[in-house]
Amino acid sequence: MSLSKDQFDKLARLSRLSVTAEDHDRILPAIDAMVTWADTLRQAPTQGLEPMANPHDMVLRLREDLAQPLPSREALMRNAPQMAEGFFIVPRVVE
Amino acid sequence: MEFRFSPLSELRRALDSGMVSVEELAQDYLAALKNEPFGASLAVAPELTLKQARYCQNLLEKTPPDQRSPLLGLPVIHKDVFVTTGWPTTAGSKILENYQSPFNAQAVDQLESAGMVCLGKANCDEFAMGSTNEHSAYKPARNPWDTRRIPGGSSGGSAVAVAAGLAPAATGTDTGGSIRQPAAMCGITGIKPTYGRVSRWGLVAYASSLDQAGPMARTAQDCAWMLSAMAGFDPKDSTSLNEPSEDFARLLGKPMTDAASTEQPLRGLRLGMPSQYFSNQISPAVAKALEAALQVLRGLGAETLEVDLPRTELSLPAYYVIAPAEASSNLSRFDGVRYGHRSEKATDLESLYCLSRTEAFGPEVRRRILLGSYVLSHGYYDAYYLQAQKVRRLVAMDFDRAFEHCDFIVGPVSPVTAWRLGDSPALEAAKDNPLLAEYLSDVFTLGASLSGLPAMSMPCGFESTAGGHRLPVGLQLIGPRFEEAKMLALADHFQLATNFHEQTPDFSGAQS
Amino acid sequence: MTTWEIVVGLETHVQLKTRSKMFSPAPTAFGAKPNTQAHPIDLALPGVLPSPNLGAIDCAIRFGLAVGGEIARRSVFARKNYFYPDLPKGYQISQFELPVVAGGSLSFCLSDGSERTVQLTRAHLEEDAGKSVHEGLAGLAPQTSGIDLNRAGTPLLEIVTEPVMRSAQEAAAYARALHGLVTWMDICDGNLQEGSFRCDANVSVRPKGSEAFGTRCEIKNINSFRFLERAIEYEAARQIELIESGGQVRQETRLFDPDRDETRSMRSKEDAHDYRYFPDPDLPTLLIDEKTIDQVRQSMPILPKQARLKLMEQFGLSAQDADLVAASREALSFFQKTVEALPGLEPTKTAKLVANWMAADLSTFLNRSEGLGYGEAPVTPLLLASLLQRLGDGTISSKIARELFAQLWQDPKQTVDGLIESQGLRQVQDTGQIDGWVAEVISANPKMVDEYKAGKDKALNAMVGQVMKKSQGKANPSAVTQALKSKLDA
Repeated sequence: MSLSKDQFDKLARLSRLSVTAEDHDRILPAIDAMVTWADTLRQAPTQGLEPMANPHDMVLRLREDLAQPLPSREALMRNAPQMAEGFFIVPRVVE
Repeated sequence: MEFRFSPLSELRRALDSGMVSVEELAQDYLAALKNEPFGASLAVAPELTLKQARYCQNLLEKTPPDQRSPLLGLPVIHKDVFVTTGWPTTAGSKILENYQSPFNAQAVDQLESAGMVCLGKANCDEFAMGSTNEHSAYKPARNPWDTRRIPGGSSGGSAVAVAAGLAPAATGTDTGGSIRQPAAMCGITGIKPTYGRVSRWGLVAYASSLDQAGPMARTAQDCAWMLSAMAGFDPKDSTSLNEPSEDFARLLGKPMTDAASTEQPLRGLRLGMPSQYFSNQISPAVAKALEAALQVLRGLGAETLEVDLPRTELSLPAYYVIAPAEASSNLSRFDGVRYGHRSEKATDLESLYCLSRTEAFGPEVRRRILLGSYVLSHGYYDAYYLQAQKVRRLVAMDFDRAFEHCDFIVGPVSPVTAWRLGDSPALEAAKDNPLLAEYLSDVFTLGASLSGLPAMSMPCGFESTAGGHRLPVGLQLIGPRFEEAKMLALADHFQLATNFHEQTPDFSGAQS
Repeated sequence: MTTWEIVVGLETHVQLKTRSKMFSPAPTAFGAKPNTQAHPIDLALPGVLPSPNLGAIDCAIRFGLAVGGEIARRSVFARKNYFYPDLPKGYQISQFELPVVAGGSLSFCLSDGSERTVQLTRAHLEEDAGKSVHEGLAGLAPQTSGIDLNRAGTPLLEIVTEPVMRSAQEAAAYARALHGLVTWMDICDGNLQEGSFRCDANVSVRPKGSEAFGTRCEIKNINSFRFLERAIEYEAARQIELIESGGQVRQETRLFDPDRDETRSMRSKEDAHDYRYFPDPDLPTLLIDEKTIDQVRQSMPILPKQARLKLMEQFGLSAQDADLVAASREALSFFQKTVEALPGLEPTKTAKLVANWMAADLSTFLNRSEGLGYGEAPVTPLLLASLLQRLGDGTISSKIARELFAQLWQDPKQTVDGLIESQGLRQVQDTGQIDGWVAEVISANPKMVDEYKAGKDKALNAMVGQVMKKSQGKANPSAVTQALKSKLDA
């Protein structure tokens, strides 16, 4: 299965990554190779098998519904690239 | 400094006997880390380390020796995917340059509670993606046995630190072999525990269903001590195993079976050798070292037999579908909004995302994100991601079946020893797939990762190169789930009978 | 000319009334300063992991039982991947293939009294996103937005109906009934202004009789029943007009603008809508066993449906009246307390009387007072009962009773008897007085008399009105009618 340039660009869009010509030259073939590689999975005798999402097929544990005190806003927002009035600032979000 | 290559057990005696203080020990390692040429560390903060050291010294003086935690006062370096409050956490990436976490990883806290002193953060492949530590956005790490070569990855910095005597112990993470493989290539000991043993809280996530934290040190005993402190149920991690806490060192030095004796401590133990792990895929040097190691184990009384892991080959594409898929989602939070790199060229929201991420994610990471998005996308999910999860179950079933015939599986960690920086591993399989060469070298470590089984690497020999270097070879042990204590005891017996783990690199050798 | 049929399905996001968030222990109170109610988990800081809230699961099971749905024994949390600044992880933890509740239905009455049942497809748990505020807020530079993650991570139950509604009115009535149910069950505080209950309407049109569905548009985030009705009406009309003028309806997401009374296309949040759902590897499968479901079942209050049936059987109320009285636990309690305080009167008559007053005056006054519920009404059940007592025993006319109600609402410290006495509002039953007024009206309105004699009953009502006016509303209307008739028919 070959990955077209269009498909590659769509993936990049979906992943919020810019695509350069270099990426087309280097990353696209690598991904294409990996996809071809992944096609070999089809050979495996997997009929009737449940997918293994967790190695121990664990069961979810639930937390008591209690609110806990939080670290200060300063500590939590310390790494913010841009902050004002307690908000994280980003370029205008258009609805 | 006389202690630099001592295992933790020796340092414990030195501290307890007053031969050296916690602060002196920390200072010695800090001095070794300063200006080290191997690219092992990404961050140090001597003041903070010494503060911790003084605190532990205090505690040591107040606590009677028999009540002390075995790790009290011992230094450790943390792989830079563990978040720490005192040191920045980068995960080897530019996207987290200077990131200050408001909390510590659970494993870091537990080791700190056990009295370990943090020396700093160790270099690694970016977001733990890679097998060479060349993918670190900051600098490659270099193998102390031959600095033109890779140390392995992704926990390359951690392995180098221990191998070069810059730290007596380190933490690493293993998603597809990232503790075992660098441990093997650097000639140290490392263990990836059963999935869920060690909390993933505070571990910068790569592939959630595969990531496991573990110790990397000079001996199996050291690893046992550290694992005992690192492991344990953590309610903050929904994939954390709800098992009672264990002393993983409890079986060290004890008879392994009823048939065991002092000369034959491994008598009655069956070691499975997967035919797929002993194929022509491994280099002659690795095969030779392995054979010699197996002879030692047989000499100690173990029985070896052939077992079958038919899906060994398939575990490669299965892993390289599942891990990138989970990673592509885990890395979406790096968007320049709340922390991390934000592009200065961004003009609107869309360009903020695209530019920030593209500028600050390295090519390997971008490659895996794109592949991950592909295998999860509409129309491909069933054929790739879901299918890979089913193959994963097949792989796990293979191991379950194998363990009906043996107690532990033995084999190589890596098909070859450390290759040169910038090169690809010389693998038969890579001839048809040069782009995938680095991935193909993971063939022996992925199975245990996919199955969530405990697995470890310990030094078992060397390859001598034409250039006069000795390159370590690692022996892998894989056990049934929850059998870490027994596995470490087995490794300990091997280390009592050999001295590979006591070897140190020759630093007078070539450095490039 | 084609007759068109409107097809509506609703997706409602109900914020669950838990103490902490869906996957983090941060508190859930509304209105805190920006980013003071966000845990590292809600901020998606490196290294965090989700921790699922038992209380939210409980609410979901509660809801599932209340609508007669199937509670999934195995349920999976899945990641819905897309990029948006109010979505810190770059994915929302939601449920895709195995939601916690499947099926179920909700029955309710329309304003004309007819009963409807809407089938539900499913209800699933997910986390809410944060909020963005735009320039205009003090301190925010132009062309920027501020992200507040206080709301991020709040537990939501998304309730999806089958596309079985056929009018805007039906959809609004369903939404009201659902609102009533979730507040009744105490799983949601029902606060529309604060966004605790938000509806997305999927609207399409098709020629009546057609089996195939037309292209649908989704109108998002409507948090008022009135707006919901308007939005659907507008959208249906827009689509019909578009098709009739030769155009095609494009599948898109739209927003309702209440100021302009129209829907408009929303700039899409995420491209290509490929959410790449997959089970969240940080959250193993949720297993819900019989024991847990039973425990929840035991602790459930009587359901509105059951309460309505009881009201109809026990008190002979109509379905419509039962609907109103059992609209909330508060309303039902109000009704019960009022009825209990009127033991002397005949039960079905009392029930009907109380229900009427709740439907009319009480509702009107409550609607005018923002945010006031039956539990906070100034006219308490006891006060209303004392008023109805005097109405029932003929002391006052219904007109006067209504006036007194208004007065009591303003000043509930007054007593009914006190007001009657001080304003001299006793109903006039004295036939002498009535005969006097009747005679006056007859002589003053010969035209009306003629019309009545010609067979126009309307004229009688007019004359009754005149007498009532003369009596300042105090005359007993039936006595007046009686007197007029006997004089006129004589």
